[in-house]
Amino acid sequence: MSARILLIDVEAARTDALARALAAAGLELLGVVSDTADVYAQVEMLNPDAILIGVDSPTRDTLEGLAVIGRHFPRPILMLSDSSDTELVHRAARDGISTYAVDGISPLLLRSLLEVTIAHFQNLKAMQADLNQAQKALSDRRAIDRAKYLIMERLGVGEDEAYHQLRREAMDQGIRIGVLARRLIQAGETIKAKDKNP
Amino acid sequence: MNPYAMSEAPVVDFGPPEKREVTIGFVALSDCASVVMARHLGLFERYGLEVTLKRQPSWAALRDRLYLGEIDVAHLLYSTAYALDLGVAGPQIDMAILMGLNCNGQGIVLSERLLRAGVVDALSLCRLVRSQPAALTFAQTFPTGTHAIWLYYWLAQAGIDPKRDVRMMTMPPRQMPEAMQSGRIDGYCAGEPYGGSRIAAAHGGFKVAASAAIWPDHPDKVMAASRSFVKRYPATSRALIAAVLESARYCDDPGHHAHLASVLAGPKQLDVPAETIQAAFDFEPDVAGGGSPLRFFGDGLVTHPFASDGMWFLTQLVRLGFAGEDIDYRQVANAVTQTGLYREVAKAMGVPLPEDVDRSVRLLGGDVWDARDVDGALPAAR
Repeated sequence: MSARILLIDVEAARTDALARALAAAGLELLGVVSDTADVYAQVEMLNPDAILIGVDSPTRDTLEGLAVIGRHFPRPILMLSDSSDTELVHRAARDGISTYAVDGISPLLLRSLLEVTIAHFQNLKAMQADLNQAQKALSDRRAIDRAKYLIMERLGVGEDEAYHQLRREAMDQGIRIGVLARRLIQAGETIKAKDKNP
Repeated sequence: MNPYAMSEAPVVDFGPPEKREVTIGFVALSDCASVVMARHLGLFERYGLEVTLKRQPSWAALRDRLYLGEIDVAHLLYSTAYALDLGVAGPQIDMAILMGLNCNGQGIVLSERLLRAGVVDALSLCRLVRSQPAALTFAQTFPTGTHAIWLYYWLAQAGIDPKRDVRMMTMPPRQMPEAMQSGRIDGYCAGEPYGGSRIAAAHGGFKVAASAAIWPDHPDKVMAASRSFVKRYPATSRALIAAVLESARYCDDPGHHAHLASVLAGPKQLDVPAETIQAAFDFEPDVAGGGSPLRFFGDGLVTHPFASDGMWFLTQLVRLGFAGEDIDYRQVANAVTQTGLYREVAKAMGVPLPEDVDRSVRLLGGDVWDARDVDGALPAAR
């Protein structure tokens, strides 16, 4: 048995990766619908067994309206009577995902859906953190290079000596070398600006 | 010191709050004014509270966060407080209504396409519905909400069966005007500023009826929390009521309307131009010239929570099919309505108190709701 899943207004979803993870758990991703689409028509047409929607999507109220029409429309999972996976539901909500499911969906599939969803979005978060880290390191290296050349120019020293001075000064001030480099660059630009407009 | 704080009003001591830090969830509508202004004017601090306001993108999100304990107190649709208490169309929470937050200020808007087809009121809408085969589509804001109730009541009063003669859907109010303009819906019921004539006119529509035409000076939003919150933190609850009461009094002063509108217009509040918001505080009639301004205090009549009002909203939840007819109206309403707590605070603050904790209401079409005579009033209400 499989369950058909619809995604609505879920930000930053690598949907191809999510679709594969869902498929491995016996869940079929029907598609991704934007917040501005006619959600009523989409849900009526695609007839999903469960819907994942961004916790802060205003369209959630539209789903609430569908949920009260009939049993074949997914309902907010918080009210499913046999939802013993409260902790999973809370974790999904903290990751920014609200889940709606039809009454008849098997508890096992529902559990898989929640687990796959949580894993996917935590993965995304971790990837984003890695990316931020890498970008910061790159920007530090650029600043250090520029500061080094400023020191070489001003003091007439070689590259190694300029780097040593930079590192020593950062240690003395108790700040990261990248932070000091940015300050030197900024100060250099201020001096240049003053030179131009005395 | 905030120049708008009413420093001349004495601070009544309701005892040290058991819980100082309180999170209040609200939805970006004009009727959240007294809560937002209480924060803005520093009134919560005056009563010893540190309040964080959290704007909620949907009623569903507000409800879930109340259920999960991420927010303590909510600016909530009156009838939805009861739906939560009954556990219908959502999770069950034993609910407490601390006070009323507003009266009036909701509107029913129709597309000008209907106006061109001769619709100027509910009766002419009924004629159109009868004469054309294609069903019209109307939107309200939440299945168990007050806008669904006003819209159903208004349609039914004119002889239109809201469940059979038209298509009904739920939609966030911010999306409604454009949906009407693009032809996806033919009309809607929403709170100010979306149910107001300015936004309606800007999107090819007109305000056909103010909610006050259905029930003059009706309540709409309440300040609500779980009953366990009120039981655990009675002094905090009193302080919350006191701060919002003081704010509500400030909000009703016509001299302050421009200030309210400018605060609500902010990007973290409604994010709508101030003059669009202010229209409802002054007076903005519907197409028939009817209606009443949005009010927050009304000399203590707006803020007083009447159990009888709660019972009427219960009858409407039954009418919409969310609750069975066997509910004990009186028992449910008495448990939810925190009349004693409110009256204690209001009395200490010198806010006028109505003598009776119930009131009778004459509704559109002449039906009278009198909770003191439930057996007599129920058939008409349902």
